[in-house]
Amino acid sequence: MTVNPMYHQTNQRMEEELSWIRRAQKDPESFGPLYRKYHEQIFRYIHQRMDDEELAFDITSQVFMKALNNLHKYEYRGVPFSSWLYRIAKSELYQAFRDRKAERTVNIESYQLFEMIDEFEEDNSENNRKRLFESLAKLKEKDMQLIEMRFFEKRSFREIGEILEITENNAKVKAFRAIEKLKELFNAKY
Amino acid sequence: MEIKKVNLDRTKLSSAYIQEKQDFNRVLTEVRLTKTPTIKSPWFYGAVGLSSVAVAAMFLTDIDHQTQPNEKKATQLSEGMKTEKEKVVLVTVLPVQETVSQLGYQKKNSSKHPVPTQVKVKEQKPVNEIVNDATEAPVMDRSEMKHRSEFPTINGLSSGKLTVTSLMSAEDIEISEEFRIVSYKVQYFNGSSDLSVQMSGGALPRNIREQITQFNLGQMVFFTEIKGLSADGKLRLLPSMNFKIVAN
Repeated sequence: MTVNPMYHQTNQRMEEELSWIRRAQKDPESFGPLYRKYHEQIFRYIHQRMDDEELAFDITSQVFMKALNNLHKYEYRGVPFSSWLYRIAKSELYQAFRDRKAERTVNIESYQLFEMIDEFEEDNSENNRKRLFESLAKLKEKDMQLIEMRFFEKRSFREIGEILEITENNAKVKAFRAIEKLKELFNAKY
Repeated sequence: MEIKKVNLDRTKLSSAYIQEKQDFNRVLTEVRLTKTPTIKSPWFYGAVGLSSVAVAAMFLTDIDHQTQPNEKKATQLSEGMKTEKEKVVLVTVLPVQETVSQLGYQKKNSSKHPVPTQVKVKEQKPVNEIVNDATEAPVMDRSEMKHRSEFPTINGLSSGKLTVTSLMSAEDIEISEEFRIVSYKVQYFNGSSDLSVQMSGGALPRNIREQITQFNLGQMVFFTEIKGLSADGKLRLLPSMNFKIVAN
């Protein structure tokens, strides 16, 4: 599993980020470097879960507006600032789904399907890819988000835990259960 | 929440394209626009509300303070009586000590707390004299009354002994023209129990006067919580009245 370089930062980068945050808490215009650093990954996180590109950009802006408005409440806990932004992004995204502004979509690459079939120790046949594709569509949202973050976005359990506001161990357990459910759906179709 | 759609191999947006869409100035402008003005903030209303309550409380307390001096004066009778009663207690206790000293009684040798063999006894008035002083003395020296107009009376008396005839001839509690009595409370014995009756206005109903004169001879009757409306429209708590009802 690859390492997400934006999450796993050196202490020096974390301290630099913290100094930006401190400045931005006093002067909102100093939030610029943080915005530029995290805009793309927050946008991709949102766009990955919906089809509407323009709405994804709007929600991304909304996330940064909320972050800027609540920056005075931010407390440094030794984790990257991105975790805090992802939590806001998750909340804004699900609000958009509740308001029916957007529809929940899952976006998968072919190679991700192959990897997952390998994980299931099945043949990488066209039929199996189709079965897996259909099983993913039937998965519940709460299981889907874990599979997306762990298998498609390659996030560490620690980062998943911080985004979902659960412990690292809990994230592991939940991800394991989600993959088990996907396997069940996959085998049920056979 | 339901998953509506699963896409396979959707075209990926390039980083350059996403960066093109970055607009930090728009975010800043919207943040400034969405900031709640102070006047719309709940904190503002909280602060204003609390201040209003505080001002109202201060205003009400001020009214209380205005009425309190008179109330204090009126209660000096009871305070005076308390002092006298305390004296009575002293008088009853001290002779015992005196007897102790006269007898030269000494407790068994207790080195830690030796009992004095002689006790100095203050000069005291005889008990009967003090008790009479307490019951017969006027509430306070009339000459000391600074706000005499605020003192309600019954047939010219605000305390002390009230004869049956005086009470029966009084139809209202009297007060200077500066005030109008709005309500008062009268406490008396009605033959079976002690009553505390809340009255509206300053009238002394005949049945109450009759009960007082019939069952309270030699007893104290209290007129308390007398509220008067002043000429400037303010409600004041007026001094209480305490009478010993006596035969003519």
